[in-house]
Amino acid sequence: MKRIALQVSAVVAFFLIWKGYVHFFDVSPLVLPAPERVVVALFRLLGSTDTYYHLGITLAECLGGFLFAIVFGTIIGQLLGRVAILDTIFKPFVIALQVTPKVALIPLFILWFGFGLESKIIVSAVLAFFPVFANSYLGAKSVDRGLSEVFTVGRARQSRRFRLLVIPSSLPYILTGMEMAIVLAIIGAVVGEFVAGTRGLGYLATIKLQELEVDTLFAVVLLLAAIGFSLYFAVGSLRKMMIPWHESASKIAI
Amino acid sequence: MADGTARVAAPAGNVHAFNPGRAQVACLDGVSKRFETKSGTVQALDGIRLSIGAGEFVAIVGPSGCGKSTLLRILCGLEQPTEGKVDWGGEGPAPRMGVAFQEHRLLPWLSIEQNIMLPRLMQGRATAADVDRAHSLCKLVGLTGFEKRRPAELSGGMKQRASVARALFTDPGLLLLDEPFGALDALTREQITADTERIWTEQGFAALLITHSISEAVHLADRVIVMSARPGRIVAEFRIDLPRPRTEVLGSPEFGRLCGDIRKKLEL
Repeated sequence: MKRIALQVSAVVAFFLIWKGYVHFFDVSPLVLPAPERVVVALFRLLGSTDTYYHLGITLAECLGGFLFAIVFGTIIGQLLGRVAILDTIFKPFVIALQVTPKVALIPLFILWFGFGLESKIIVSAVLAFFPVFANSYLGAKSVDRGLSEVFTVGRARQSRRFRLLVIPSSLPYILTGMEMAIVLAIIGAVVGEFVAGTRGLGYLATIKLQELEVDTLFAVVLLLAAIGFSLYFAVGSLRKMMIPWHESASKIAI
Repeated sequence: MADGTARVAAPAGNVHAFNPGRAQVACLDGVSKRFETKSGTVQALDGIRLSIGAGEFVAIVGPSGCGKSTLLRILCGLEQPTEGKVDWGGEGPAPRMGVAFQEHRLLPWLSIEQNIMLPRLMQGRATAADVDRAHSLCKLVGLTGFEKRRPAELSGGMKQRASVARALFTDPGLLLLDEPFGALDALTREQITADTERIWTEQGFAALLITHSISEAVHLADRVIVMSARPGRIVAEFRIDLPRPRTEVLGSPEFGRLCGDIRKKLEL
């Protein structure tokens, strides 16, 4: 109870400081609108069906990219982590791509995949891929040696070893990767829309910016933050469902 | 001899701890093991000749780093000998082996009964018969009621019992124990040692116990092998003829004298 009271107080204090700052420093509403104006704009936004259309687009792009990232990130991470020769060959390429600011590749993806949803999904997927891959890779290499020996002594079948040892050992890592990935996926979708979008919440934000409807712009940003938070929380809850045996599952970080 | 021992004459160098006139379960013939490390070559074992008879309980004691764990790992296939070979009774196939390590090595994502059934799960799906067997092994090691729990919910001693139950799941001809009770507190250790003797007496498998504890070795074994410091060689072999169950004679003078004799051999 005390925790929630403390957190609520902090949020309230935040709004009070915001209001105070705007009021006492006479800040232009085009730079930083007062909180109540943003709240009004937010309600207006939530009352319009258009908003949900754009929300659906962004969500679709984000989740599409996220899904691709999980599938490819997990599989490629496991492959490179366990098959030494693949590791040797492909690791340099992966690292090169990893250190490239992927956001800089967005214009390239627009060129290749067009202005529609596909390019945003791909941007989203490429951004979200790396944390999943890196963690899956680490997970594949982090199988406990002692447990591995138990399977060797028992002459376990490879498929059973994979299912009973490798996957459960890797899951904590993969789930961590997924938590990072969902955040990047939404960033990818939104930034993709910034650069060359015709629909979605990111696109909506650029329109509101051009029209200097700053209240609504802030409201869109808040909405995106809320979506990001919900998605992150949803993925985080997966942890408790999928790896209840792991110590990390008993502590949800909110 | 009157105090219950039979000493095999130990010439300087390697004692040959063969036990002829008895069906063999495993036989190490001139086994040596060398490891190449960054700091040079390590000779872990040197010319080990040791046999384990069917249903026999053999213990190996020796100082830290003398290679006794390596010996066990060679038997269960985790290491290969650099020289020499391992024979199984009468040139036959290797006996079914169960291994319990110093760490419990239970899978944290499986329940206790699943962990015990692991030898079966490693090959394919478990049947109802497997579950029954896991449950009866739970009973044997004193873990009734904990079948569905996860290892994290058990104490160290209980986890080690589950580990031994898993080692027994395949009804092995040879049970390998690599200092399995080392990490337990003294009281738990006494209890679990007594239980091990009981289970071995009931089930009749051969067993090889690696231990630091001389009293544990004398408590459980028919023969106690003493190894030297690295490079590991057998320096002595003691036949323990004390009556069973040994729990009754733990405090006896014969027991103490045996432990003392073995300790003297270790200090050499």
